[in-house]
Amino acid sequence: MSARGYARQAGTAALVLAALGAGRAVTTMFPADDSVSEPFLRPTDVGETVELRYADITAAEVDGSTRISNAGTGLQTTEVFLVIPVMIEATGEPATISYAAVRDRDGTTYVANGSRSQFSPGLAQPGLPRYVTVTVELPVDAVAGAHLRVALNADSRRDDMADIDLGLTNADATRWAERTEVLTVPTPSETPPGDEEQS
Amino acid sequence: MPTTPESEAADLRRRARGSKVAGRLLNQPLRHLGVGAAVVVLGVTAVFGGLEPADTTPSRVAVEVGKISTVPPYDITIEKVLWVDELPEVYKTDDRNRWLAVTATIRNTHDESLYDAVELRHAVSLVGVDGLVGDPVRGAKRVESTYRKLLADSSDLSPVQPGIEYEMVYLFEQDGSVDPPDEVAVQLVGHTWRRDSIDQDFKWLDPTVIAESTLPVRPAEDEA
Repeated sequence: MSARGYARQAGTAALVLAALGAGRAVTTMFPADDSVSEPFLRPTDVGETVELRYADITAAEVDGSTRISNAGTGLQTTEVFLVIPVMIEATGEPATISYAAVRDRDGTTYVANGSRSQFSPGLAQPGLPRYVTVTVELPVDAVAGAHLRVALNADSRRDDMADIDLGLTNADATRWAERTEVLTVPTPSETPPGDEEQS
Repeated sequence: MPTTPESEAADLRRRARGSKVAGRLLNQPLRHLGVGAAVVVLGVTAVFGGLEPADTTPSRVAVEVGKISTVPPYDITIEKVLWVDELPEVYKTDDRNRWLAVTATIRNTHDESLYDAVELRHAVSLVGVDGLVGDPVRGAKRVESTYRKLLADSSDLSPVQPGIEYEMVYLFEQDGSVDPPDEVAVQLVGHTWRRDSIDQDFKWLDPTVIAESTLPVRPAEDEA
C-alpha cells in the first residue's frame, strides 16, 4: 500500500475515534433525563376505580396484622403485613398484571414480589372482574399515608400505573402492629370474596 | 508451498519496501513496538473516560459479635455461630452431615425491596472451614450458605423489605465425617450501587469482602 493509502486509513480511523469520542462527551455532559420515561401515575382512593390503558383497578378496604396465612404457609413479622383486596378488570384483551408495591410517604418502595410479600393475580379476562390480594410486609412507621401502586409490569416506563391512596393512619399502624390474629389471604378468583363465603 | 519464519520475514520486508512507515516499523525492536502499542491503548481509553480507577477500598474491618457492620445494601449484626445436627424444614445432602448456623440481624438500607436477593446470599460467607459441602465462590476461597431462613417462621427471606430488622440464620452444610470446628472465619460481603455496563440499569454489583473475623463456634445444645 502506498503512503497515501496509509494516510487515508489513518484518517478514517481518526474520524471513527473522533465520532465515538464526541458521542461519549455528549452522553457524559447531557445525561438522559429519566423523568421523561417515568410511568403515568393515575391517582385514586380506596373504593374508587381507576382506568388504566390495560385494565380497571379498584382497591378495597385494607386490613393488617403481624401474622398471615398465604396458600397454607404461616408468616410472622416483627412489623406489619398489609392485606389489600384488589379487583382487576382487563380492558380490550387479557392481561396479567404483575406489579404491585406499597410506597410510603418518604418514597421508599415495598414491592410485593416473593414469598413474604406477594401479588400473583393470574390472567384477567376482559369484562370478567378478577378478585386478588396484595400482601406487603413493611415497617410500622411506613403504614400511615402509604399508597398502593399497580402496573402491568415492574418496568412501566411510559405506561399507566395506578396510584391508590390507601387512607391509612398511625392508629391503623399501631392497632395492626399489636394484632396477632392470623389473616388468611384468599386465592385469586372471579368470585367476590363475600360471595365465596356464602356458597 | 510450506513457509519458514525466515521466508515469512523476508516476504514482509519485500512487501513493506514501498512504504517508509511500514519499513521503519519492521526495523524497530519489539520493545519499542510494545511501548508504542501501550501508548496507543492509553490514548484511545483516555478518549472514552480512561481506565477504571484502582481499587482504593480500605482494608477489611473486624466483624464484632453483637455490633452492626455496614455491608451495603445491608446493615448486618452477627449474633453467634452454632453447629447443629438437625433442623426442621431444611434438608441436608446426607443425613450424617450437620449445619453450621450463623445467626444474624439483617436490615436492608436501600430505599427499595431487594428480591431474588443474590446480595443476601453473598453477604455472609465462611472461609477455610474443612468439609463444607458448598463450593467456593469462583475466584475466591469463601463458601456461601445453603439456606437463609427467618428465625420467626422458618420462611425464606424474600423479598427483603427496606428498614425491617430481620432475625435470620445462614446455614452452611458440613460433612459429618469432619469434626465440627471450634471457630470459623466469617466474611461479610458488600456491594456497590452502580449502572450495569450491559443494560445500563442501576444494580448492586461488585461483591467485595468488607469485614472478616474468626468467631467461636458452639454446639446448639449448649444454647438450650
